[in-house]
This record gives sequence, structure tokens and C-alpha cells, in this order.
Amino acid sequence: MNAFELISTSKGLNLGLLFEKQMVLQVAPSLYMVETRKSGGDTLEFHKFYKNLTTSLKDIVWKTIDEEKEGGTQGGINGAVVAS
Amino acid sequence: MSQCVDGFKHVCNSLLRCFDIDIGKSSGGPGDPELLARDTVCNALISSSISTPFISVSEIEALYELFKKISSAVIDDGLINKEEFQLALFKTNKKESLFADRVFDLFDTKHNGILGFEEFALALSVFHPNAPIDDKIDFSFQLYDLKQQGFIERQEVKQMVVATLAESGMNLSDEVIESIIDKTFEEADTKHDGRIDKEEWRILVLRHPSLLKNMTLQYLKDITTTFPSFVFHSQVEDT
Repeated sequence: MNAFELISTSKGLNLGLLFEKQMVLQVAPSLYMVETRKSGGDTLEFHKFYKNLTTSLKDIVWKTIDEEKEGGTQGGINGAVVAS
Repeated sequence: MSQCVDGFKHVCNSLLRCFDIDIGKSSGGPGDPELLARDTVCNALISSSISTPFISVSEIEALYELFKKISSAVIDDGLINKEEFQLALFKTNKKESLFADRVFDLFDTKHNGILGFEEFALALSVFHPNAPIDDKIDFSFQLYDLKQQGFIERQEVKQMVVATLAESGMNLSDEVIESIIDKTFEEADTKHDGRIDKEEWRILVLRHPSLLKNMTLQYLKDITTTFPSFVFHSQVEDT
């Protein structure tokens, strides 16, 4: 194997990641914020996925932004504060 | 190539004209930073020696949407600092990387520790599928030339291999690492001086095009669908 082949697999050299949507911010040592964003595709499907995700994570999710607003979803950014 | 530049000039002029017309409708007045950013980019791209493959207005606008998203993550100042760049790349602000540092430095042509939109757009234009391969070869060479002395030295290659392995948690013995580098230099270092110069690099990657795989981002070709420009309602028709 070529050394450069190996090097080019490094995450820091794959700028395609700039276009990817999921962000995890370390807010405090045991507290993380996860942002899930839909970049394309069916809004309804995304919403189903998102509801599913937050339901399964019910035990560790404090509050989703959806629950703070009342109804009114725009299929854009959804966020959840998660305790690790 | 001059056809490309002329085409681009035409698009840029339309873009500038379009915003002159819309100036009453925009959120800022004359001197609106977003309009200025686009002016700067157009001028920079027109006068740059890289024949830019971004030839449509909507591609530049879409790139600007991405830039805005990244640059507002930590400090909302319309500029990308190192932390915002790391965040955009690794999705966490806790990761340091030899390679991300190197990429950031190459993007930062003004060497002031922050990326403005024109630096961002110019650097990313090299990654467009239609960008000339020579630009990709140059960029990748500079990327791997860690000490920027005009050569990729054996020690630099070892440093990068070790960093890559550490990142992925893969463990290879020093012996194996040395033998991988030996084989690489055997093939690449045709002048047998223990380092790879620009010419040798060029020949190597032309023989192994997969080495430039990470120098092309297909996303850039489809960028208008990923980042629809809903902020600026341009009346320019894409040709």
C-alpha cells in the first residue's frame, strides 16, 4: 500500500465532511448537544425519523426544541439536549 | 480557458448588476456586508489565476450559504476561525488534527488566522470536479509539504502516516510503517535524494489518480440542490 493512499483516508483531509449536517457540540464534560438537520429529501420522512429517534432516546433526552415550540414544525432544524 | 474566464466575467457582471437593482429590497443598504462579500469574491475570482469552475451565480450563492452556516457556529462575525473550521469538519469542537491545520493554513492565503468568503471560495474551487488537475496536484503537494520547504520529505510522510493511524486507532508496528514508506519512496523518489519534489509528485499521482481522490468534492457540482439560495432572489438566468 502506498503511504499517500493511507494518508488520504484521514478525516482531516476529507472536506466532503463540511457538507454533512450532524453536529455534536460538547457543551460541558458530560453534556452534549446534537443537531440533526435535514439537507434534502422528504420532510415527512425526516419527521418520522426524528420522532422515532427522540422517542427511543426518551431516557436521556432532556427536551427537544419541538416540545418547546407548540406544533409549528418547519422540517428545518431540530435539536435536542442530551445528557451523556 | 479564456472562454471560461469570459463566461465567468459575464455571470459576475450580471450578478453585480442584479444586486444594484435589488439594493432597495436587500436587508442592508449600500455597503451591506453580504453584497460587499459577493463583490469581493467576483473580483477575486475574475482576477485569480485559477480558472474557476464556478461559473453560475447560483453556485456562488449556494457556496455562500455554506460559508454563512460554518462561520456563524461559534462567533457570528462572517468569518471562519480555526475552531469553526474544526467544528464543521469533525462535528465536534474538541478535535485537533494535523491535517485540518494544514488545510486551514492553505485556505488562509492572507495568513491572518481567519477565512473570509473569498479565501473559502477560491480554495474550494480547486476541489470542484471540473477544476484543472494541475491545480489539484499543486494543492495536494503543498498540503503534504508540512514544513513548506518545497519538498515532501520522508520524515514528513512518516509524521502523516503516524497521525492517520492514530486517528483511526489502527496499530501498525514501526517496522511495517517504515516498509510502507520505503516502498512508496522507491516508486516516487526517482531522483533518489530522499525526498519527493513537485515533478516526482506529479508523475506519481498521474500514475495513481486515486491519490487525488480527496481533492475532488462531487458535492460542489450539486451544491445548488444542497443549499438552495432562498435569501437572495436573483433575477439572473443561469445559462
